[in-house]
Amino acid sequence: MSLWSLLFDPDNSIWVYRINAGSCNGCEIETTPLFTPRYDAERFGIKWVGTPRHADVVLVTGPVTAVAKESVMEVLSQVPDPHVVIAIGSCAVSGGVFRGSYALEGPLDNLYPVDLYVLGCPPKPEGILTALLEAKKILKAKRKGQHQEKPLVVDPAGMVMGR
Amino acid sequence: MNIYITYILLGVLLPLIALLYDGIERKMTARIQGRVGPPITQSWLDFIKLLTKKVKLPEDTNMLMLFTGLVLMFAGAFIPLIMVFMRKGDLILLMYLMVGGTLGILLTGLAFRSPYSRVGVSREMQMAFAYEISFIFAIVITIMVTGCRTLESCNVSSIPLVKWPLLLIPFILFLFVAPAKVGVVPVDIGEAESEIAEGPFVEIGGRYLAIAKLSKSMKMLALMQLITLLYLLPADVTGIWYWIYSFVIDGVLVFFTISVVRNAASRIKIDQAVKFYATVPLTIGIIGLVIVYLMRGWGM
Repeated sequence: MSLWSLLFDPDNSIWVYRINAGSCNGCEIETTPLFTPRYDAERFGIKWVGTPRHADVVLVTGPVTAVAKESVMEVLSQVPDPHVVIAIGSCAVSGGVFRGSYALEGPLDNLYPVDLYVLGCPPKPEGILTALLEAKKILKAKRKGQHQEKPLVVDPAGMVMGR
Repeated sequence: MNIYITYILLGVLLPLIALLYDGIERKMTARIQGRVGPPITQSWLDFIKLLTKKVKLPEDTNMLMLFTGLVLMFAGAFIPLIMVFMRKGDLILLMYLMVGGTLGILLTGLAFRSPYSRVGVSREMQMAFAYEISFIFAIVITIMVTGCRTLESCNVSSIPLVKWPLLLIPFILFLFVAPAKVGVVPVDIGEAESEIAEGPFVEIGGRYLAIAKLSKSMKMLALMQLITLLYLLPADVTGIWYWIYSFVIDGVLVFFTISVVRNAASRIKIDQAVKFYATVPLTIGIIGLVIVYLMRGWGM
């Protein structure tokens, strides 16, 4: 990192909030190792926060079920701008094996604009970390008032597609 | 140099240094846990990031209470920080200002109707009742031993060698109180991130949260410098060496009172914390006060 980005770049600080919208907990189990010594996401300035009002990035896991929809929308409405929404795992991206079920209102992009998709059931921590680092660039663009045309897709092992 | 220029320089630089100390503390924590850790400027980056965010508050926020709380919180950290580094001012005033900072946290939390915020305020209040008494005891014993009230003369080097062991009592009390006053893991029950989502700060965001975080860092540095100033500063350290010595000893104190404690213990429950602060430090404080009072009576 350059001295400028070490001292003044606000995009080197990303606070992440997680929403479980009916997930099976597989994706949660894969997001937790990000803060263990092996991956150590804190070296990039990434930090978990417990409340959507502090968040820059929201990770949504799970197909959005009918029960979870109201809570998810309310939580997403509390996140201050600029923010990035990441759909983690097959369920959040497309509905996964539950697609077409009577109990689903999702997937997430039917309800709220999604900036990044992470594929995989579940995705590897490398994939989630790559998505968080891509979110830095999207946040930088959003701070300048630009909008990207189409969302990015990150594959389970951390390759960025769709650029 | 003109005294006003000095104050303005310190007013700008010391908050930045306080944020750097917060970053150093995070780095030390990470190294203890075997991680690489964030760059030491991370807290400073967080601060800038929070300033660039838009503010989104609940509609029924009590804005007057929020602003009062934030101003009190900021004043309760910023003024003591300047006072202890300039070695100007009164110890009793410093004590009141630092208690005012705690009051600011309570008012900030009470501005919202969120249950997390209310639970946080309630726990913060119980903790304040438990540890502030020990803090007051520490300052009162220091004043009684050294026999002076101002920061420039009230010092371990201003009393004869035989009285030095007496200052161990307030020093130990300060070490007990420091983690609670700063709000780090074993005793940060009011602001527990993982249980009640930062308690009183759960609903604030953007620049208001930036002020809260800055105040917390400044409170940490001010408390460390206060301990250094009262108990660890030799008489012949002056001029530029005073600043270098202070910053080094502050770093060492941050390591031992914040980082090590934080990594050695997990967060305890509110009743355990209150019970601990109402027994161990308070007993030490009362015994210390009695000893110092008796020794004054005997003319020592």
